[in-house]
Amino acid sequence: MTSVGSVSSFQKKGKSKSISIPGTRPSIHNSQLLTSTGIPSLDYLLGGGLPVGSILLVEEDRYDVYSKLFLKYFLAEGVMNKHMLTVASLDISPQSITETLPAPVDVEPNETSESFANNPMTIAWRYQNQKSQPTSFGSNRFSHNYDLTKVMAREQTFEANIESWRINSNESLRNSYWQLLEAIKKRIETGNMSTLDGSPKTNVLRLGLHSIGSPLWGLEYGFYEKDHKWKNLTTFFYVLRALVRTCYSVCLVTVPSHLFVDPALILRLQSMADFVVRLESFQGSDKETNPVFKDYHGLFHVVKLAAINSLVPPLLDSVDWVFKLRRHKLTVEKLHLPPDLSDTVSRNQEDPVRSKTGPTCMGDKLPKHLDF
Amino acid sequence: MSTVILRKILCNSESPTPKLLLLTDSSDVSGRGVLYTLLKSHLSIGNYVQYLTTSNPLHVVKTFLNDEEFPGKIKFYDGFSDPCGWDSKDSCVHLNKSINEIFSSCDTGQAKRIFVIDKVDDIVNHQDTHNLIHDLHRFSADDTVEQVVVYCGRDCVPESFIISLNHLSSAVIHLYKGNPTRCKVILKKPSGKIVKTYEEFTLSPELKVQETRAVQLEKEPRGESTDEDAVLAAQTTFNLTLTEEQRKSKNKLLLPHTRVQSSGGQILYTPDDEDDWDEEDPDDDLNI
Repeated sequence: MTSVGSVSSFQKKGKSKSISIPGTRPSIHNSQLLTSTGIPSLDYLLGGGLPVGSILLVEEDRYDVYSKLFLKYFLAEGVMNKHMLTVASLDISPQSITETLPAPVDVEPNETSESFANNPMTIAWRYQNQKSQPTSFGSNRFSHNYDLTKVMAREQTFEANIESWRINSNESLRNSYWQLLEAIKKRIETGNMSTLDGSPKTNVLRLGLHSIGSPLWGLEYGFYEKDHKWKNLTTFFYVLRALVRTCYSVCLVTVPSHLFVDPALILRLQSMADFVVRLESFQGSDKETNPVFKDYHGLFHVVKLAAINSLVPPLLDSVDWVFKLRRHKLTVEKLHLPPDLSDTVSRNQEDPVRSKTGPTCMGDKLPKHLDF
Repeated sequence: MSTVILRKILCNSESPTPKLLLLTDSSDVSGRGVLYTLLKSHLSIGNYVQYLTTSNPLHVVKTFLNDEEFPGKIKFYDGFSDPCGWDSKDSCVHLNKSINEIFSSCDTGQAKRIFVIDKVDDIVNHQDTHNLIHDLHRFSADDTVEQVVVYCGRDCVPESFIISLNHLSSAVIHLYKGNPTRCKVILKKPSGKIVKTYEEFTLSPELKVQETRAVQLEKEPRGESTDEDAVLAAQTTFNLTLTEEQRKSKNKLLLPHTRVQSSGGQILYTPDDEDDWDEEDPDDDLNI
């Protein structure tokens, strides 16, 4: 038996037609060229990795603690594969991000508690021999391992081809979006990354854009749809997608969607991105104390997956995902409800995770109990 | 401890000092006392305070924050007398200038600078919000600035502006009406930890914070389960609970299935004399 998520070792004989760029590999589903996000469990959710030419939109958690980590993993993976990097932020200096990337380690930091493994189950003894949740999704992962407690060596980030974008204070603050787009365009041209010229590519451009749409970018977050003042932000995403599509690049954008006063704005941005995930941190919310979530740090909502070369996006084997920040690494896992240890047997039936159903293809029409 | 967050912020014992502190009040509670308390503690440790007043005339502020008490440590900017620059008084600050320009002309020597904006509502009325947010952000990233204190009446500014101030600031104090005064404190530590508490306090006439204590939210946690146990226990003659000793002995009991488990699933078989060893699969007629 192979574990869930792994594939057969069957390979086509003969010369492989795919281009070999460090840090990429063709997808087994749709032969798109994939890159890693740096987090194996996130790669698994996205269908193996982030396809070249796509945008991953990360909706930030309320205090931008965990979304920053996702961005750092993404950039660290780029440094390790010697990709071209562009980092942009107005909220914090881009250098402060690139200087604190997680350090690569040879072995996967493993933190499973030994005491748990030795402790035999007395009541649920049938489950004892069941293997616990696979921590690494499949053996054919291609990202590196990182240790969050250490910082990547300065020489390593110094050697990497990183461009830090900061706003040009001489120009008006109004067109910071446009300035960034021009910088990206220039970067694509100087790096010769565009697919239009037809030359073979040996590298990938990674765009890490932090907190786009925050108050420092403009006041779009505070407007309602009827105000008709979202143009700068929505146009930015539209042009960004066009730029990313025309070259060998992947893009991770974090957006503080919790600041948006009109929820329709984030829907617009979601429709423009290829993959959308939302982080909902338990910090400062009442879910922090909910016993259901005591092992986790936040909910990980998979809002949208790209349907590439197919009509429907891949179906995930679970709808409830959570992220967990351990000492050394950040992982995305399935939500497992803990055993109810309270004296009263009945659990609160209210689903604390979500109020509406997840993206199943049948929607609400699926009968709850199937009779056979 | 959560009980001391407000006191920690107001007495500057929180380390590192929150770069951007947002203090909001509403029409039914005034945050002025808290503001002066904070500034006095800044002045007493030798920080240099640059104070922009827009809602109160200078002499009113000076009755609380006296120049003579801290000579050369506090500089006032009068944004109250002539906010629009119509009277062209030189001593006054015009609020249509960016706060960057307002605060720039100052040589403080060695002391760390504290910027105080009292109140930001009036500035919002006179200049572009986006520029203001950028200026505040720039100040809070400046190493020579110890703290930027933004005092704001949350009823008088657009909701989106409060959202962005909340987003930028590293410490937020929202005051609410009550006796003693209630407040909600959010502290964002550089490590990424978020402390969020509800506290009550009183201010003495000498501007000392007293009787700070954390309060629970109005929403009480559900404590029904213990009540239910009590109700059940009263209705039955059985003993429904276990003592610690009973629980231990119960857990020690070896159940039949666990015995099977521990033996590891070996089949022990002693061959008989009559045993007929058949090589064929006895189940080959089964259609599995």
